[in-house]
Amino acid sequence: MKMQAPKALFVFSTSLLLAHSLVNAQERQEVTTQCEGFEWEVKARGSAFIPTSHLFREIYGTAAGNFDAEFAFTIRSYLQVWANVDYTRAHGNSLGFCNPTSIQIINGSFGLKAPYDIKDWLAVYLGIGPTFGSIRIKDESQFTGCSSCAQTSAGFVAKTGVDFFFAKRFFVDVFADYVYQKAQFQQHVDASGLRIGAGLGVTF
Amino acid sequence: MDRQRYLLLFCMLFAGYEPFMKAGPFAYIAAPTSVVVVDTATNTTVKTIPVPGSTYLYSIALTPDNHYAYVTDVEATQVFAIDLISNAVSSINTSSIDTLSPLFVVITPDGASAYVSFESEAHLAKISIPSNTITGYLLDAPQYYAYVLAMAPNGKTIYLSGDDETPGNQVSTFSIATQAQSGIGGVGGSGGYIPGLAITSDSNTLFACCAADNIVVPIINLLSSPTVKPGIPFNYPYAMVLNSDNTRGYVIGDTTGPNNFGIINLSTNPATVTSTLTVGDNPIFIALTGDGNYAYVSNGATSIYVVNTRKNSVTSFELDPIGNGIAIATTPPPSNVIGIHKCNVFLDKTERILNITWNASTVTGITSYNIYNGSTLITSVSPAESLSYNALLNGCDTGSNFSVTAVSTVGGESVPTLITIQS
Repeated sequence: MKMQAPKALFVFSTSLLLAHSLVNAQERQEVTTQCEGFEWEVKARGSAFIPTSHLFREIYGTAAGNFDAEFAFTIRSYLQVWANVDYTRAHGNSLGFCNPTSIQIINGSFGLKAPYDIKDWLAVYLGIGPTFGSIRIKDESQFTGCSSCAQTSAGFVAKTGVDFFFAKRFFVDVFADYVYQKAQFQQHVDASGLRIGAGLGVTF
Repeated sequence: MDRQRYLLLFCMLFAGYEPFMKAGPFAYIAAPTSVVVVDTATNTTVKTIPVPGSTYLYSIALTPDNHYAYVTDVEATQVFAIDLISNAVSSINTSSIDTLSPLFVVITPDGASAYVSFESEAHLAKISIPSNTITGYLLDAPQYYAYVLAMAPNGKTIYLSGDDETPGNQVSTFSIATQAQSGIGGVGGSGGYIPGLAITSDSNTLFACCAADNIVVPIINLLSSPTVKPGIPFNYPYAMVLNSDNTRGYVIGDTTGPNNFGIINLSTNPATVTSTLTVGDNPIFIALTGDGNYAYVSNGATSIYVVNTRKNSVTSFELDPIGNGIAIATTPPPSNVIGIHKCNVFLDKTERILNITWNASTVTGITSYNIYNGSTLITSVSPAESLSYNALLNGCDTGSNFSVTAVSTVGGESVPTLITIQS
């Protein structure tokens, strides 16, 4: 599996920060923040999925809509376990004969993330974890008719974002996730990409 | 959806419907008062075109575009022009040219004129197409008679032969441009009876059926200095046709048989009859399909004989009431059939497509173009839609076996034109 340098750097730095967070979690317990004391966090987000595959972009466009729901549980100070379910859907046309096609990606992922409080109303986080999903592609070929095929895929997701707290329990999450996932259909499908968006979250 | 498709297919098969049944080419056979159209693919009658006012239709010729048929009536002084698309029939009175009956008819390669010989053998009539105005030429009888006619494919000359068994009355030429006549002497031996002529596609060699001499006489170098070659022995040769590449000739003998159908190998020197078959009693008309695979023979009776020239076998079918002259419509195939590889790229698969284009057939009445992969019919394309088709290529298929035919309501299906793949 080849990764381009910026993606590898992104993943590496995310991992490094997570490790650093684990080592220093105890020391940072003394820092008080607005979100301190809350163990659960739930958020709903919308984003633009920007595929890294040229072919994906040529067929379905440079960006597709993505929605996800995520919850996180604080297991130690500055260390959370998170789980996420996301859904991406895009419509496009085949190259050559411009036949309609659509793609749906449903992923489930989980992992660890390390929040870091900059201000009492501002926190950043980094996270990483594996992702498992289903990619369904529906092609309406003028030659072979309509066909729909789904394949499972596995990969990983690296995530970062900034949480702006605007009330005691509520915050806005501005984030950028990188998802790496591929699947084997009649030909290899690269459904990796960057998700950039925002969402609302609540802690309790 | 699949279930519906299978149900539809079952219903079509149950009803006897053949969605891609190959048709033709069509043979047009002069029956006494009608023209019977026979599908040579199945040897079944496609339709019968009544010819009102006719008494005994004899010889028939088609225009190169298959639009019109010209038929002589040997028991009257009239020639009939039939519009094969509308089936409209026009009668052309020939009494102003010759008071005796018209016999044989040929049509110029440009389809502009039909020429008719008469029972008197003394005149040649020219009928303009499609106006059907008629003019006549008095032949230089008795030196040059016209009984049987053969049109040179180059459209410059009509070759004439007489049925009078007088020595010296043999083969002559009639210039279409100048109407000048000249003779070719030394054809045949003791008798001048030449009821059949056949000319090669290059217009340079003529074969004269010298019935009384029991030989087929080749006359070579027609375009420079005609030279009569030794005759090819065959019993009472009456009519002859040649295949498109002039390698084989098919001759019928006006005898009760056996062996009254001969296959002549023209590739050897001298040409020889290599095999014989039997096609009923006293055959008098013969026509060859465009691909040269079948010869149709009539003998003025109810049976039409079909010779498979590849297998040297004979079959027959019945015609109601009888069959005389036969003309087989040749639908010109589409030309310049080009294939270009293209791709239809989805994210999960890539379909390999062969984009096929072609030039239209040159005749009227084309109803569709058939696309074949090998012998499998892929689809039919309406000429009103386009002159192109995108075919899905399966597996490692390169598309090199694709071909296109033209299908005409008048002429049936043409021979296929094989694709040329362009990279």
